[in-house]
Amino acid sequence: MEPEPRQPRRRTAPCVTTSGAARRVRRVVARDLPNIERMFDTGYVDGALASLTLVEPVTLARDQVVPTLDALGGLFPDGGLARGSLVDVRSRAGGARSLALALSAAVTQQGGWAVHIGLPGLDLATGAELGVALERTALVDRPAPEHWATVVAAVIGAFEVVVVGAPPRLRPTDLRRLQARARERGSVLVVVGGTRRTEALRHEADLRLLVDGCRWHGLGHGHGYLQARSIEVAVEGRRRAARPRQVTLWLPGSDGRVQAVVHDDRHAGSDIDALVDARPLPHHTDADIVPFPSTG
Amino acid sequence: MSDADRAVRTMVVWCLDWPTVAAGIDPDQAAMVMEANRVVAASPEARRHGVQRGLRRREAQRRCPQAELLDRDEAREARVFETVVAALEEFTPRIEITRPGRCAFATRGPSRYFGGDESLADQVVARVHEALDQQAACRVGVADGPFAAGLAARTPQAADTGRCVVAPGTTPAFLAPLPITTLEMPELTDVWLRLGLRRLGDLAEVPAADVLGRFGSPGEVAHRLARGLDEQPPEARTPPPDLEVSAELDPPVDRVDQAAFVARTMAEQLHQRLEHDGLACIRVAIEAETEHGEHLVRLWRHEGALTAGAMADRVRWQLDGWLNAAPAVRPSGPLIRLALVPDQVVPATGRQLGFWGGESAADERAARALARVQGLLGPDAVQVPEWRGGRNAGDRIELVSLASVDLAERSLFSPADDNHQAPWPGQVPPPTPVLVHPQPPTAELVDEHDQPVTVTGRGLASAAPRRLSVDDGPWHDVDTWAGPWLIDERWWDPGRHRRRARFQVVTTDGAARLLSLEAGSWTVEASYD
Repeated sequence: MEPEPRQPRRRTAPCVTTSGAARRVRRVVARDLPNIERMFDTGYVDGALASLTLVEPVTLARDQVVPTLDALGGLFPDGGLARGSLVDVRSRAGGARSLALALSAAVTQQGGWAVHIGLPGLDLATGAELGVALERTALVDRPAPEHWATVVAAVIGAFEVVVVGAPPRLRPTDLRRLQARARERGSVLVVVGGTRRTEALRHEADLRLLVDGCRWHGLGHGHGYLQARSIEVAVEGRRRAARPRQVTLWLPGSDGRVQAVVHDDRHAGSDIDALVDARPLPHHTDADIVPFPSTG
Repeated sequence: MSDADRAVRTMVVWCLDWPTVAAGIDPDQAAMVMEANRVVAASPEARRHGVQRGLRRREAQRRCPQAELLDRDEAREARVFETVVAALEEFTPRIEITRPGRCAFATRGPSRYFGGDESLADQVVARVHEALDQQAACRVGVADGPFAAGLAARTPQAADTGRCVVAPGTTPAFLAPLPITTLEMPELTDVWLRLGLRRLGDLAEVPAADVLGRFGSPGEVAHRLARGLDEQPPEARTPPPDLEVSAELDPPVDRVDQAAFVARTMAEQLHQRLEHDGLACIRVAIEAETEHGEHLVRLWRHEGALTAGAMADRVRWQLDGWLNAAPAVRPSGPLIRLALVPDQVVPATGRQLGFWGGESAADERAARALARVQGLLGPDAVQVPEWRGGRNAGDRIELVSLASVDLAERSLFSPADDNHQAPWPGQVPPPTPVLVHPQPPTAELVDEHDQPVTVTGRGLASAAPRRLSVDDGPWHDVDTWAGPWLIDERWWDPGRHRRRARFQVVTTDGAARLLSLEAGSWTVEASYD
């Protein structure tokens, strides 16, 4: 029997770019599949699958994100770093480097790669504590200014997250070229520690993170040691991130990991301190680090 | 056993502790070569104190504190080994290098000419000793197949006389009593040990079909080795000639880095071609021609299949060996042509890219991009981290130049590994400061009377610090602080002795720093950025 080439085209709307259309086609295929199998009507299946693939590749920007740690989800309107975006991270009194490292943690755990360019003195041991998989992390020395854009362009696409120390100067054309390349290849460009000279770059960024309100816990007046830090991150951006927000994070928390702070708990500082102080000291600190006696 | 199945009679020349020999260490001097915190080779003197391959640095130093620690440099090993191979070329032209320090060649022709296997072995030992100025021990094993010959070179007999010759046809009997772990395939031998197969002979008695059926092609290879056969089944074929990749070097090249750059692209090209044909290369011939018509050939062999990166490394080592050799054996002119000829290929059993881990397409992309960056900025501009462990900020991770690492063959490490959990007394507890200043900025820390804070001889702070200024910058009020934590490192070594007191200081703006007081002056060792 010659299979009748039935195309399910009339069932799909002419505009097949919404996920609603995808659901409709899936429903059609699911409903008709038993018939298809009984009839061995490969023509029908092929047709149905073909129209399914017409619908499938369309994904919305919010679906195209680089995975991030759950605790950092509050920073991003889409629950993760949007692919192709430019992120500017800076701080008033520390925290920008740690936050940038934390941004690359989840993606490296899940098989992606991250590279850090031009951040001299970066200690990746901190990254490991925050959850970065070091076997998929590379470091590149700070390139000479004339090579800067070429080097960054070379790694965009191959690395999901490209963390760069702010360049001394960057031509607007180079910046736009890099942005276009990142959008095309789906990498995220994170610029750390910008200064006044890179104000234009910050202006162009899709997401601007400013670390402020750094509070360290665990250290007293002559006793204790640094254990946890709470930071407040002011988030601004363009498009979906345009509404300014304030997110409070533990970076790191008392267990060494990044944690999100629910806003209601912000006044419970004393509870948090109690929590931190109640943590037993790591065994090797007992003998080796003698608390300094109070000078009274 | 058919004739085609019988392994080629092979001589293996093994130079003991090659990494230490290549580093120029005298045999009676204690030294060990380290890679990724493990001992990869130790000099005879260090081994006398119980240092073994695979030991951690800390344990090895405990056993032999006076030993000198050297970093591994495979390029140097290969370069020095070239003198040995050049000396052996007086016996036979087709020498294959398994790795620096170990090479093999077929003995059928040479042993007829030099009066038998024993005589050839003695002459080889003498010649290698001469080439190395009696500085290194060398052992020679002759048997059917490189695997058995390699084991023969490790027998006590070889240790006594410098050589061990297994008579033709008796190789299976020679192998039978040896423990099965000599196969160095832990994932198979672990199972076999539990199944009661403790010797190679036990494995050889199992029918080949059963081993193949249960353990697949790796099992088949092991079974063939245990029976004294060649590793590859006889159908391992000579590759079709069009697989050769060559490049004319114009202008002629006499520097290693220039030639190695060409070699890297050639290796990738060759690898692609082989992959396209479903082949993998287990032995590659590296050929070079000089301006004056000299023709240089060297064979390199790899137990597994050679990846593009591994092949490029071997070409670089070989070029280094040729171009930086002693003037007497160095080619007389610059190179004008370079060729990579896959000498033995096997059907690629497939290097399955990882589905849930292992090597993936993302890894390859990253490696390519980094190679491009290396081309732009120089080979040492790209680094990858490796755990080393240490008590100071910045010591726990060592940054290794990508030029000395093959990303495809890089052994993964995990922070959960106990390697860096080893106790490092005096380590500042986590979290680790993220910014370790390459040039520590100076600081001033004063108490409420604006007197500099010092540390007394009993290890106490002179007063509570009140204000901090970094690099003669503005004064910040100290919010909280702790210390001093004293650390006295390497007091036995006047050159590297450091005695410091460290403080953690948080200023009122929220910035945390690790300050260190050494010889009366304050520096910012690291910042918690």
